[in-house]
Amino acid sequence: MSGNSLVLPIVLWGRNAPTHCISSLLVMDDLATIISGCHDGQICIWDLTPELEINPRALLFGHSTSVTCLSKASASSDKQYMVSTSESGEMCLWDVNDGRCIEFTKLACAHTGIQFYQFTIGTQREGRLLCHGHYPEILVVDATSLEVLYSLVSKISPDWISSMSIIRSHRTQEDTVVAVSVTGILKVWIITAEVSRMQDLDPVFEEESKPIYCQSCQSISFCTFTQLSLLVVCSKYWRVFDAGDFSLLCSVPSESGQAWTGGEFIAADKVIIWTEDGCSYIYKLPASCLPASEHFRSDVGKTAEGSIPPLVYSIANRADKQLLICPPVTRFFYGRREPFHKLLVQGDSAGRLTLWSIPDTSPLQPLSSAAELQVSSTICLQEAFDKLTPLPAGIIDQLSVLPGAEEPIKVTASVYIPSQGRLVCGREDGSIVLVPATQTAIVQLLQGEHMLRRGWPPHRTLRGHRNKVTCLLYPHQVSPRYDQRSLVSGGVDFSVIVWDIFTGEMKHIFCVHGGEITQLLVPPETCSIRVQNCVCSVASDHSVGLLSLRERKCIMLASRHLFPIQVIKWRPCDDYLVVGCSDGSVYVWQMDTGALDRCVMGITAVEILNACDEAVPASVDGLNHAAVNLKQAMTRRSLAALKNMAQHKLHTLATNLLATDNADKGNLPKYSHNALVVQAMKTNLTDPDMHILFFDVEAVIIQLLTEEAQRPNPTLVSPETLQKAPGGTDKGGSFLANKIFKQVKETIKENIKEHLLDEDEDEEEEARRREEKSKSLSLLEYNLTMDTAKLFMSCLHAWGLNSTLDEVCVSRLGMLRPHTPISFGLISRAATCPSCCPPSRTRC
Amino acid sequence: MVVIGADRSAVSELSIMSAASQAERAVLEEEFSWLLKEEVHAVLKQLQDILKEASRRFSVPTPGMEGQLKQENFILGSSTMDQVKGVLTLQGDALTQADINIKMAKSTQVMHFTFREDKQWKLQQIQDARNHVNQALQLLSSRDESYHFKTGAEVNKLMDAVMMQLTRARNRLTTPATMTLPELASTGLMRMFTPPMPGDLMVNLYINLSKLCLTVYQLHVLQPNTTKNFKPAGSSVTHNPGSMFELNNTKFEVSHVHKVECVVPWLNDTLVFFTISLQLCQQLKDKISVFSSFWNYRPF
Repeated sequence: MSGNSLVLPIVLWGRNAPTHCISSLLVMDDLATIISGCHDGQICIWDLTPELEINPRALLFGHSTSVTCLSKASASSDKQYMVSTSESGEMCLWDVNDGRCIEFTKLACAHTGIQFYQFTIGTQREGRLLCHGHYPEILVVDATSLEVLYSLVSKISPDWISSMSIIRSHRTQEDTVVAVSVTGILKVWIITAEVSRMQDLDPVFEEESKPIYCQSCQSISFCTFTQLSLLVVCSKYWRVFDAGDFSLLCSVPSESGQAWTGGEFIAADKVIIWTEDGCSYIYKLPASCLPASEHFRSDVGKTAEGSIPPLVYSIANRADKQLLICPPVTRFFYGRREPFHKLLVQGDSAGRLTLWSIPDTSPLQPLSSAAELQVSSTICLQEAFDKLTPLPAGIIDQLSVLPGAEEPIKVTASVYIPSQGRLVCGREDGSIVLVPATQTAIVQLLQGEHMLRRGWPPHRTLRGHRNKVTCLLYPHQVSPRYDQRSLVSGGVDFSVIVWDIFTGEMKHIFCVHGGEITQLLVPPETCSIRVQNCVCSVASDHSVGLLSLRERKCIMLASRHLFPIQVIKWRPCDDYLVVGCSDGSVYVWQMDTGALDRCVMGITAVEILNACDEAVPASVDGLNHAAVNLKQAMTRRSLAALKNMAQHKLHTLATNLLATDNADKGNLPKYSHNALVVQAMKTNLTDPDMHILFFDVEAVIIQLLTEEAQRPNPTLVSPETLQKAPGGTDKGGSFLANKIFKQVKETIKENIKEHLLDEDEDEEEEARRREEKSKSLSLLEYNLTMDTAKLFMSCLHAWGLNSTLDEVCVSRLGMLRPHTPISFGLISRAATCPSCCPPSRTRC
Repeated sequence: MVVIGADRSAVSELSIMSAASQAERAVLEEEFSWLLKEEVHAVLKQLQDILKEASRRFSVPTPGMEGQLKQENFILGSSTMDQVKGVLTLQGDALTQADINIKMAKSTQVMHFTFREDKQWKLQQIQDARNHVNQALQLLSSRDESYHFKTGAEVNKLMDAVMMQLTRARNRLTTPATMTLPELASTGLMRMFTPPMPGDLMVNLYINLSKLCLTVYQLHVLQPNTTKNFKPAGSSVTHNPGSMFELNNTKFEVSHVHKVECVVPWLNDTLVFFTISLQLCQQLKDKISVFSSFWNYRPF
């Protein structure tokens, strides 16, 4: 195990499956796995049984924008890799078996298609990915390092490639790439062993370039059965070409305004073509297209337009089309190993996968009326969630089910306050719930006496918003200059409310925006004193406000932006607020006067935004809509914080603390001690929140040992169990153990120091502190460390394998059995690519 | 407003709210169906007209007839200096002829360069912008008047896709590629000229907004024993005098930079069309969002 895996995520999905609007599909060669990418950037791995049953296995988070294409990235069957690319040019290499992200790169341009190709140089085999997209070349990328090796370039009228196919023929020794450009020119490159050996960046020019007059080409595929023909599908017609000299063999127009989106050969004499609205048709090719027939190439040179070949099967998408918000994606795959199914797969915007098994035989009835092919299997993500018993748990489900209502009230925004171990959840009905995070997680996941108590754990409900709460901010967490009582919430009712979380009192309502609040942010430290007491609110009416918590008024409102606000940056030294809009324009506002200083576009806009990054340290960087911008959230809030802790944490912190005796002691170290961080996540803006509990194994152990050492009496946690805990999770222990014990020592030292300092403090200050402490604890008295450890170990223990051990765990260690399957996540090498398993595959 | 412990829901308040909105809801629903049936198609039609006009500006070459494209000459100049003058011939997305005069600093000598007969320089920015517009048009043409939009989400999805293409089309023109000087040297642009360009000169050709820009860098070789701190310059659209770089084991410093440009009127038109269409798309999305935030509301 590497250092990273010390952080273990556990996912609480809630009952609503994440939005999965499918944008690309892939079936692995062994037909045991289907992979789907969606418009929000997630990738779902589905298991496919030989009986064609589909079950979701894991959801991978790696891209921030729509997944444009998926491709396999390894030829061997024991190591299954796949590669995914997104609209913004990101490229991820994944291990299909465990969902790890192995490699990650980003290019400036977006890819729209990838094909895997294996070079054989003697006995050595090397995987290559051939990519095309919004650029005029075909890039040849190494399949393991994702490095661009060289490119295939056009000499004659170079243009974007709309589709491409690799032709492997036994007749000739060389493999060729056939591609069609957006202007309808067919290009051929030879990729032979010579080329594969070439490691320098010399481009390879095309061998042949021929206009085939195919505008808006959707797909091109090579007939692997006869190795003599090519199928080109355009939106208004499909055509079959001779693969040798690219002469037209037949052309079939689309009927009744349907738009074709792709097609493939399913046998030597049959093709399957599908449309934009999700229907597919299987045609028998005319004799002129069949190399086996004596009429082969008999129509070359004649225009065979108009004659529609006999339809063998038609496949209509019978799913409820009401729900579809964009055209479905259809693909055809055939198994290269047992079972040799020929599968037509379709994924739609509702996250539904539909499978048809294509029979090899024609229907018995006469060909005049096409037979309808029945769906073999279908499932959508929500159905898979609904099938589970018990239903996947949400973080505060037990508090959210109203009497008489079926569904719990959805959580629409959340923020975790680590210093108090409390989770704040804003809900769909406008209420905000404050609840101890570990306790609520225990209720959701583990069995115990708490199951019988109603309204457990003790919580506080704040009511004030008239409708959905859209964002929450606890400013004190970001900067200690804010009052630790204040919580700020924004809602769809256009209002921003400031709360006192200790008393539950509503302090103030700001109504300055003309649209729902989308983000709440904290200005950086270096701003003027007046701005430092503000929070920044962004609303869907494209306005930004600076709301002063001290003055209780809006000190600046920057509105009239034409496009939605994408990013907020700061130039504190110039007193500028920089607003970046979704169309790329940038508005610079003077914070003091509220005057619009400038509005720029293009290269200047990019430069201004970049200049802000240089001026401001990264930690205070503007937009961190925790739940939305997953990548940022992952890197900043959880991973950064947690990794920091795991690695060089207390060293620096403790020394700092001991060195600087006075200033703001209570704040920084407290946050860093967190063994548990709860991160809310949304895959789509309209989805309810799901929550991930990140356990820092090392921090759990350190905290337990620290508390143990401070307590005179032997407690529930004996040193033996502690030894066991790191032993079980971490094999290469001795170095780690040393480090941990060192840190424990330091923490204890630190705590003692803190105590001493506490005594030195002014009477007044201490009185205030005590009052606050008592208030915050008035809600309930509990031991955060013990609860965290209990929750963590109970989730981790492999229950049911050894009944004696289970018994010991329950009676002696106070662990609890899970009542619900626990879904673990995995944070992989590339720090921005965590992946999580939906609850289907479980450990109990 | 505080409830501790059990959820004591304010049932009465909610029931009043839902009752009051009943009539309102009916009106809104009617308005929404009008929006989906009539307004959306009106906007889509308008968008298509504008984008067709924009696409027409990028004269698309039909295969086999590249020679028939209109040729336009642009005289590049600058208001502040006259060391560099150039005449460029633009045909579609390619520069087919170039005629550049450079008056070297510290000498009266005027150097004259033209494109080699067999070469032309493709402006990838123009081709990319054209392809993005055509993709946006393709998206729009799949949803003509006969198509019945059923949900606001469907319209939003279409608008998102169209706006992405349009934003990219516009960005390609407004934000030229940033390059390091060695990258610029390897583009092959310097090999286009006759007589061959000397090693102490580099040129860059690109589109910025609606302008065709030519930047000429005059270089001098940094002696290996120089006391100057060598610091290679990063990526940028234009580099300033004093920028340093290393190429083939030789260190160079930019001594002079000359920038000349010329407005391409039809590029200006297309930029205006892109901006208008983007605004139309956003306005349509805003209209739909007014309703969708309302539908989201469910009284409990």
